[in-house]
Amino acid sequence: MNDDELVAGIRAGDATAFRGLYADHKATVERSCAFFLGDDPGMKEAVAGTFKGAYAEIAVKGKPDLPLKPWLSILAVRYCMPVMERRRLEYLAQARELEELARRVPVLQEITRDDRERVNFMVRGEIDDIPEPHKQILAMHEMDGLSILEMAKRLNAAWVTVLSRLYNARLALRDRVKAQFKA
Amino acid sequence: MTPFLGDALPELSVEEISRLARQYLAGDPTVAEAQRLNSALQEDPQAALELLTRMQEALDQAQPGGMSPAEWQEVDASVEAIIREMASHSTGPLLRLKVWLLKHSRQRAKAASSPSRPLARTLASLAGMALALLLALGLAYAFVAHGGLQRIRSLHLHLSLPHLSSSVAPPAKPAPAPSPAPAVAAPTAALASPAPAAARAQAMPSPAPAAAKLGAAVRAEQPPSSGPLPSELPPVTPMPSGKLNLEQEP
Repeated sequence: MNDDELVAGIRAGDATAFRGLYADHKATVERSCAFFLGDDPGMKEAVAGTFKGAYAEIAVKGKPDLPLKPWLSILAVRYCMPVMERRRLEYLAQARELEELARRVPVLQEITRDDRERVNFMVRGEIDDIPEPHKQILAMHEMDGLSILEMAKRLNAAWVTVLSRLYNARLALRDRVKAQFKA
Repeated sequence: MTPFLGDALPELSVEEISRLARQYLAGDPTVAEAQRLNSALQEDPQAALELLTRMQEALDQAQPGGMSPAEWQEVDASVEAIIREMASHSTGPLLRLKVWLLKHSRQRAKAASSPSRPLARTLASLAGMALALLLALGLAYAFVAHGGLQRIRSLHLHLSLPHLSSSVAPPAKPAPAPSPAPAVAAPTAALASPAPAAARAQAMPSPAPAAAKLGAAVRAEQPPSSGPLPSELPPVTPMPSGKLNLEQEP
């Protein structure tokens, strides 16, 4: 079935047409989401949400302005964005938590007044003792100053995958610093 | 899906879209930038497509994996749930009727677009063209038979009178015209804008000699054999005495 027939069938409530849409475009949607979400658990949510959203939009608004393939890719990214935003906000909250932690380390207070720099010094002080794979990703971000995008390219990984790895590495760093602080 | 709020935005340029995409993916967007990016994705399909392309280009060196078979099974189950929901929203006989109509219309569309009846379609299109041609000929005949050409010619003369009179009359001193020339300016006043009409009226010499010369010029311009019979002429607005009257034309 071509795009017009798929859309007309879905509007008429034809389950075969919707199955056809899913079969024809599931790889496109998966690929669009995988660039951003990789192996994140939110991937399933985004892919299923994309097809649910596609059904709702076609039923209500009819044929989209764009051909189905690019239209579904855009829809997929729309459904990826909440997952990406969730991970990004978790990452930002963790950054603030680390800044707060670094503010309580007397040595770091003497070195600089900048919160971001204090965290950087904290990472440099601990990096040799952090186990892999956390060490590599922390070094790329804090020592080499690479952005999430650059790390995704170097590691051949999806955007959220890099964000999650960095998050986990920082968790390991935080636990280590907290343990030393208590000691 | 968690709603993600964004402001309505003006159109984004390609450069701005590219910058927003990279800024977001670099992991360091401001709140406003994140909102603009999301608004572009939600509201403007062209901007969204550009943004998607830029984001994928930015990540093109990454080789993301996909979902595992187990994850696909979960997604398949979700899609089947949507299909069940679809079916429950439609009543049985109505759905069957809709699907039957859809298939029937598809078959008709295919039959119409297939080259299985080229002769019939060619004949039908030829008949349509012939009908249109006959209609056009009939309209043209009716137009000519009812003096349409003469009406156009007389209208043309009415319109060209001021121009003719100014070219015929000598470049006289711009005498103040107390009132616009009644015979010449009156027909044009309804058709031309007031300002040029008044200017032409001012540039004209006194009405009577100019109109007399104009009458001569018009008579000289009209070939005697080409004029219609007086009975075929359209009714002309009565003119003041001593002024040009087109009924005097040969």
